[in-house]
Amino acid sequence: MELSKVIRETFENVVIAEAYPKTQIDIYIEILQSDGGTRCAAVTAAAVALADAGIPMKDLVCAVAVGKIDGEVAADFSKDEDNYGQSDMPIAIAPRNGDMLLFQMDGLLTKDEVMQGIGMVKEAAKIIHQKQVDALKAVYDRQSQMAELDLGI
Amino acid sequence: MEILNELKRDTIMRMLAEGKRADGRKLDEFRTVRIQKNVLPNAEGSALCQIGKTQVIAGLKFDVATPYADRPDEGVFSTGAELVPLGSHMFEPGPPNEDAIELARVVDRGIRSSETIDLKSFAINDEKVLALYLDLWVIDYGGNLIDTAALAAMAALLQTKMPKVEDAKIIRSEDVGNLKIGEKVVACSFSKFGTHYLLDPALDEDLGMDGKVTISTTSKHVCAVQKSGWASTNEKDVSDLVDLAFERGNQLRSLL
Repeated sequence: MELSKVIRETFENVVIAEAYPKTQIDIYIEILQSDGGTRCAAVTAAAVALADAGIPMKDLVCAVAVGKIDGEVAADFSKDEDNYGQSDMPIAIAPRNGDMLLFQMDGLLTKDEVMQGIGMVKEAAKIIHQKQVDALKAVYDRQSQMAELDLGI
Repeated sequence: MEILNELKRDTIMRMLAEGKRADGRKLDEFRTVRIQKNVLPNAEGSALCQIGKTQVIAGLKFDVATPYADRPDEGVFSTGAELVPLGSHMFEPGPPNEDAIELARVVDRGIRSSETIDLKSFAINDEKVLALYLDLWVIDYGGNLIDTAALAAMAALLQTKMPKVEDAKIIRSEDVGNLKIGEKVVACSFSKFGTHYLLDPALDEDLGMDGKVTISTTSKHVCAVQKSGWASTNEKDVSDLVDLAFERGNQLRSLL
């Protein structure tokens, strides 16, 4: 329930809800298999789904978690790493301006480690964002090929 | 957002443009903080914390429980928060809503991840462990629930007596001294209006805000962060807020 709250609030920032007066947009997220980083995968997938639905957004949000394991700050923990890690810091980024839309943390981190983690998230977000864009482009490529077939071109 | 809250937000924003808050505080200033310890004789530990007009009671109770399967050698620590109707006209009876769950989760995360309670010391035998239940009751809502609840929880934990256990049963009338507590954990919440961050949001600042960043600290570490609301935050703001959370957090710690 807390999870749906922070995910909803993430999208409240970017979805241009003014375009849909008196309308509710529901995002349903189902975790099919969990291996760490579920909320970040959920946000990343929901952003692509909203874009695919043609809902206008200010940015295509993506998310990744960083944590600390064996005294080292590292990105995108698997479930085992998460269980043995000392910290977990999931962050959602709006790639256009680098703003943080979801930001949670638990564990024991110094200020320097928090800042190092945020830097790491921003780097990782670039890769994830590119994957999101590629996925959306692939859908439309496929659709336009199908349309061409339909028209017999 | 309700129209009244929107009007309040406009007023708060207008005042912030002149660097002012409605109650005359600086942006990084807490309201008056009061802590009363041992308010509930039946609980193993309790405290009432007031920040401004907000009042939260924290109570701790021990019980015997079966450990979680993935942590067989550790005791159980569980936090619940109740936003009871007597605390505000905005609170309704019934099961905890999203806000109550978030409140409990954020306070719980701070305490748990700081490792201030040694849950391994809660083991009784191979099958049973002690469970410690933290209950947070908001009896007056005047903004900034998280910091008030976290402070009440910490104050209560510092008072908590370890129960005497015999044959995996708690002897209610006897204790074996205080529960060992490591670092003191406190939370500092900043409500965001436009580009301004206001420490310890009062009621109107809580209702009209764009978002909120809560940072729980021990004297050296950040142990929990929660950003809520639609507003975003950024790297530079977080850096400033963490510094401030340590500074103001140390002041709160000195009250405990």
